[in-house]
Amino acid sequence: MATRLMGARGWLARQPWIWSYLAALIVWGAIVVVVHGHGAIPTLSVAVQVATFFVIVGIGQMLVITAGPGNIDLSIPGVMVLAGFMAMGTMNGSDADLAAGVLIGIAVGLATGIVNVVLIQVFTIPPMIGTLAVGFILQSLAIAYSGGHSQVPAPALARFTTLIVSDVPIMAVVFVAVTAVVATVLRRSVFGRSVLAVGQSPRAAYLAGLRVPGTLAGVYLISAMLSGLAGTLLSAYSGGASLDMGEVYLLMSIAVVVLGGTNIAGGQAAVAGLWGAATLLDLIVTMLDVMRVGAGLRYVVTGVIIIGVLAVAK
Amino acid sequence: MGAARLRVALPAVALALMLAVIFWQQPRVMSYFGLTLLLNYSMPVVFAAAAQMCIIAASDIDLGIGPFLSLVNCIAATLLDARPAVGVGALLLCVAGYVVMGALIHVRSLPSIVVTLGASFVWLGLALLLLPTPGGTVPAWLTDASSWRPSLVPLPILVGIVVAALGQFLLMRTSYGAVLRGVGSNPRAIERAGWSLLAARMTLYGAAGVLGVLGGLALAGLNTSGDATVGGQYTLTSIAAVIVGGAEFFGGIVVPVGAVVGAWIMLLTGSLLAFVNVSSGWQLSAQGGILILVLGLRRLARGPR
Amino acid sequence: MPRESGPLIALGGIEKRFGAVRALAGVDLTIDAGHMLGIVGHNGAGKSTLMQILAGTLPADSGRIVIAGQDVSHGYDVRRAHALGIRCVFQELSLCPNLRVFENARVNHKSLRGPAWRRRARRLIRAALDDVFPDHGIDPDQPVESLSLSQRQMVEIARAFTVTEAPVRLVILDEPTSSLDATAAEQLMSYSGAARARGVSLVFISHRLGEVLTHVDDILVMRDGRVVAGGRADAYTEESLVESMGVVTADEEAPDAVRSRTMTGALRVEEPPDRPGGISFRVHAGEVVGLAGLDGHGQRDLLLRVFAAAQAWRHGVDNRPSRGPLGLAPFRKGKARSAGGTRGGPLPPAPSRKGRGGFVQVQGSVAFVSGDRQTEGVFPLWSVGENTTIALIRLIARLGFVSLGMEAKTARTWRDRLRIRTPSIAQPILGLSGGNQQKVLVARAFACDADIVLLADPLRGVDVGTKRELYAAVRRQTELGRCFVWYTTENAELVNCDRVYVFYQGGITDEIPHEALTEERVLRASFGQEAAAAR
Repeated sequence: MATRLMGARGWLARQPWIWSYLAALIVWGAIVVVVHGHGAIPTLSVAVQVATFFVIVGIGQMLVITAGPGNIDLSIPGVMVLAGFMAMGTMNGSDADLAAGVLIGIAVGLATGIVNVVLIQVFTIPPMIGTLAVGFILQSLAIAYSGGHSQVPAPALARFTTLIVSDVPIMAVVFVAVTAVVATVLRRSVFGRSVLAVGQSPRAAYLAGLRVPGTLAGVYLISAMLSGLAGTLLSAYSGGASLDMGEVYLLMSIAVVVLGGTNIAGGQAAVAGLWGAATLLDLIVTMLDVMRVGAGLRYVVTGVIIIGVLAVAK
Repeated sequence: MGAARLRVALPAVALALMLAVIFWQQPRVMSYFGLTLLLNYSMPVVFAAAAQMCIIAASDIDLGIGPFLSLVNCIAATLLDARPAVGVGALLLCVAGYVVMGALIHVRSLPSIVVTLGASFVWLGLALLLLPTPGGTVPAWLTDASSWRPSLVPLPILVGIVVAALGQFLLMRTSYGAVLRGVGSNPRAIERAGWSLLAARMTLYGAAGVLGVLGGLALAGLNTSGDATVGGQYTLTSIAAVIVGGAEFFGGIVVPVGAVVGAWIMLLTGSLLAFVNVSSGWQLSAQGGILILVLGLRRLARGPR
Repeated sequence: MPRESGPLIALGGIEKRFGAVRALAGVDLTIDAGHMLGIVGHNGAGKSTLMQILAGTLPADSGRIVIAGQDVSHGYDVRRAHALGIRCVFQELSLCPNLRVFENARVNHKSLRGPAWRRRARRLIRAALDDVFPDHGIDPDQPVESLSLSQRQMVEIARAFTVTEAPVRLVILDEPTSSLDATAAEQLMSYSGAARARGVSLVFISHRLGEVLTHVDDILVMRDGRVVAGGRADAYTEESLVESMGVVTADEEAPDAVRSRTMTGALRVEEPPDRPGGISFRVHAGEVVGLAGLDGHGQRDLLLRVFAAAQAWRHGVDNRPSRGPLGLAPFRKGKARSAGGTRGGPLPPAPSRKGRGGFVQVQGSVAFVSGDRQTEGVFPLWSVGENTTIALIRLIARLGFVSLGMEAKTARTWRDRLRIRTPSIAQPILGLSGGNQQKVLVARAFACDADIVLLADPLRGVDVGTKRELYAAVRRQTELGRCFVWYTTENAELVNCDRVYVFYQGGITDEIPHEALTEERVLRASFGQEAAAAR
C-alpha cells in the first residue's frame, strides 16, 4: 500500500478537494487581472450563486457515484426540466402557491427516483441506460406539459434565489449549510456509512450485515429529489423554466463530482470539493466570456479538464 | 446456434411488421422514391449504430457519438468545402481522437461512460467553434453522393446492406474479429493467449471513429448544411439500435446485421409516430421506451436469478 | 524429434512465496516423456502453484526449470512455455462464452488466420474433440455459452491437445474430471494412454484418488509446499496415499491441546442431511464447529446459506411459518431485530435458505469473517476503527447517527483484546500487515454481538503468532455463549473445534467429535473414503 507522505505534501495529497478551491482562486485572479479589478467581488458572488445549482445536483450525483462503479444518474436534466415546468405551472406567479410548487418539484424527483430504482433493481437495466432513457421521457413530458401552462415563478422564490446581501448570495449560504449536513450524514449516519461501504465493496458490505439494495435505492431517490429541487430553483432564478435548461447539467453534475475530488470508482466522497469545483467551472465560463471567447471553447475546455483530471488522478 | 439466430430474427420480424404497417398506412411509400425518402435519414443512424456497436463489443459505451457526428457535419460544411486538404486532415484527426480515447480508457482503467461524456463536450465545443450558428456549405460532391440513385436498390437500403455485410464480415468472420469480441467477454483469457488488449481497444475505437466520420458525412450530405447540435439525438438512437438489434451491454455479444436492423427500426419509429400525429418531441422518448422494454423483456425471459 | 536422454521436465528447488506465506518450499520434480504424473495433496499443498510456475503464468522465486534439455529458468513466461509445448487446463475456464468453439480455438493459435481460417480452425478443434472425446456431440459452430459446464471443460481440454505451429509435449490438467460427466472423464483417461504412446506427457491433479492411481504412471504427494512422497503409482493404494499425506514433518509445531466441551447450549443452526442416512449439520450455543475437507467442496456454500438465512430473520423479510425439527412457533413479522441480551434463550424461528437436503434453520444473529479479505472483507479506503465498527453501526447510533465516542471506544476495546498492532485506530487499514487486517475483520464480527460467528478460512496466510492469539480469542468468546462455525483449509486448526464436519463433493462425509479427531480420519473423509469405524 502507498506509504504515507510526510509533512505538508502528505496533508495536501489527502485533501483532494483543496485543488478545486485553489484552481478557482487562480481563475478568479485571472479574471480580476483581465477586467482591471472592476467588479472583482461581485463577479465572485455571482459565480458562487450560479455554482449553487451545480452543487445541488452535484450532491445527488456524488452520492450515486460514491455508491460504486457503474452507478450514475443521467436523468438529472430531464428531472430538472419537468420539475421546473410543473413547479412554475403550480406556482403560477403567486406566493400562496410557493410551497405547493416546491413540493411538486421535489415530488417529480421522487417519482423519477422510484422509476429509476425499479428499472435498475427489478429489471436489472444498467443504471446509465435506465436513467438516460428516463431522462429523455421526462424531457418529452416537459415539452407536452409546457404547452398548456404558464411559467411564472412565485415572486418570493425568485427573490430568494437572486438575493445577494453585501456580496453574499443568500441561496448559496443556505446550501452551504445543506452541504455541511450532507457531509455529516455521509460521514456519521448509518445510511452514509452504508453508502461508503457499498461503494468500496458491495460484497463486504453485504457480509457485514448492511442492506445493499436499500442503500442503492436511497442514493437514486435522493439524487432525483435534489434534481427536482434544483430545477424548481433554477426556474425561479431564470424567471421561468425553459426546455433546454437542463442540458448542461448532465456533464456539470459529473464534472463537479470529479473535479471536487470524489473518487470515480466509488467509496469515497469529497463533499467540500463540490463548491470549489462548481465555482471553478462557473468562473471558467465567466473568464471565457470576459475574453470574448465563444461558447464552443467553453465546452471544449470543460470537456478537456474533466478528461484530464480523470486521467491524471489516482 | 438457436440463440444467435433468435437475436437477429426478432428485430427482423419487428422491422418487417413496422414496414407492413407503414405500407398499409401509406401505400405510396412502397416505391423506389418512397423508400428512399422514408429511409434517407437512416444512413447517419446506421453508421452511428455501427460505431456504437464497436464500442459495445468491448463492453464499453459511447455517450458522445451524437455530438461527434455533429462535429464531422460541421467540418464538412466548413473546412471540407473551403480547404479540402485541411478538411480531410481534420477528419483524420477526429478518428485519431477516438483511437486516443480508447487507449486512455484502457491504460488508465477509466470508465467509458464519463470519458465519452466528457469527449461529447469536446466534440460539441469544436463544432460550435467551426459553426457558431447553423450554416456553412457542404461540398457538392458530398451532396451529390447522398442523393445518388443507384439503379436497383434505393441508396439508404444499399448503405445499410453494405454496412451490415462489412460489419458481419469484419467482426464476425475474420480471425482478428474473433479476438476483438473476446476482449469484451473474457479479457484475461485473451491476454493470457498473448494478445494485446491495448491494441484491441484502439482498433475498436478507431473503427468507431471511422464509422462516426462516415455518419457525419452522410448527415452533411443529406442536410446540405452544418449544425453543431443536429447530431445530439443520435447517441441514444445508436445505443437503442444496437441493443434492440440483439446485442448485450456486457459480454462482447454484438450482432452487426442486427445493428443495422435496429437502426432502421429506430428511424421507422419516428415515421410511425409522425403518421399517428405524435409530435417529434416524443421520438427520443419512444426510442428510450423501446430500449427499456426490450431489456425488461429479456430479463423476464431469463427468469429469476 | 531427437530423443532427449534425460526427462522431459526437470524442476529443481522451486520456491515461491506470497508475502509471508511459503507456497512452495523447495520442490523437485521430474517428468519423463510419454509418462503421466499424478499430483495429489490436501489444501495448500502447492499443487496449483507449482503447475502455474511450470506453465509460465507465475514466476518462481528461485529454482531451476529444465525443459527438453534446455535450461529456461530465466525469463520463462506463458509464451515460452507454449512454444516449448507446455499446455495447461486450469480449473477456472478460459473460454470466451460469446465466441463459438472454433473461434475460441483461434484465440489460442495465432497461426489460424488468413483465408479459410475458419475451415482450418473447425477441422482442428473437431479433430481434437473426436480424438479425446469420441461421440462428443459438440458442434464447433456452437457458441460456448450454449454448452454445459462439462462440454466447456471438454472443449478446453481438447484445445490443449491441438497442435499448430508449436508441438504439444506436456499437458497439465488441474482437476479436469470435477466438471466432466462420467463418460467424458473415462474417455479422457483412456485418451491419456494414447497420448502417452505418442510421447506426450501429462500431469493430472485430482482429489479422486482411485481415478488417479488407476491411470497414472508416477505419483507425487505434496503437503505444505513440499513433496512428502512419490514414486511409481503401483506402489500405492488409496489408503497409503492418504497416510502419506498425513506425514507431519519435524519443524511443524504441535497445536495446543484443547479441552473438549459437551453440547449443552441451545440449538442455533440446523440443516437436515442431503441424503437418507446422511449426517445433519448442527451447531449449539457455546460450540466451535469446524468444517473441513478439500477447498471448494461445499463448505463456503453452507456458510453463505446460514448467513442468508439469518439475514432474512434479522430484516423480518420472510414470514412463512416454519415448523422444522426445532418445532418452533410461526414467525411474527416485525422490525429489524438487534442481537444481544437474548443469547442462549428461545428466539423466533428463521425461515431459511434451501440447501441440498432441506432448509437450514437459524436461531440468532450472525456475523461473517471472510478469508478473502480483498474482495469481501476489508473496506480499503477506511481506517481500522471504521472497519471494526461497520457491522454494528446501528447499535452505536442514536437517531441514525453514529456516536463517534462509542465508535472509538468499541474499536479501541477490540484492538486491545485481539492485540491488533496499529499505532492508532485512525490508521488506514491497508497500512496494517495482512495478519492484523484479518484481526480487524475478526474484531468486526466479535464486536457486533452476534450469536453465531461464521469464519470462512480467515486465518489462511496469517502468521503463527496471530493465529494463536485468535484461537484464544475464539475460546474466550465461547464462554460467553457465542458459537462458531469455522471453515478452515488447514487441518491443524481443527484441534480448536469441539466437533468437525468433513465435506466431500458438496455433502458431509463424516462428523468427528474432538476426542476422536485425527488427521488421518479427516483426510480419509476429505477424499470421500468412508470412515473405518462404523458410524
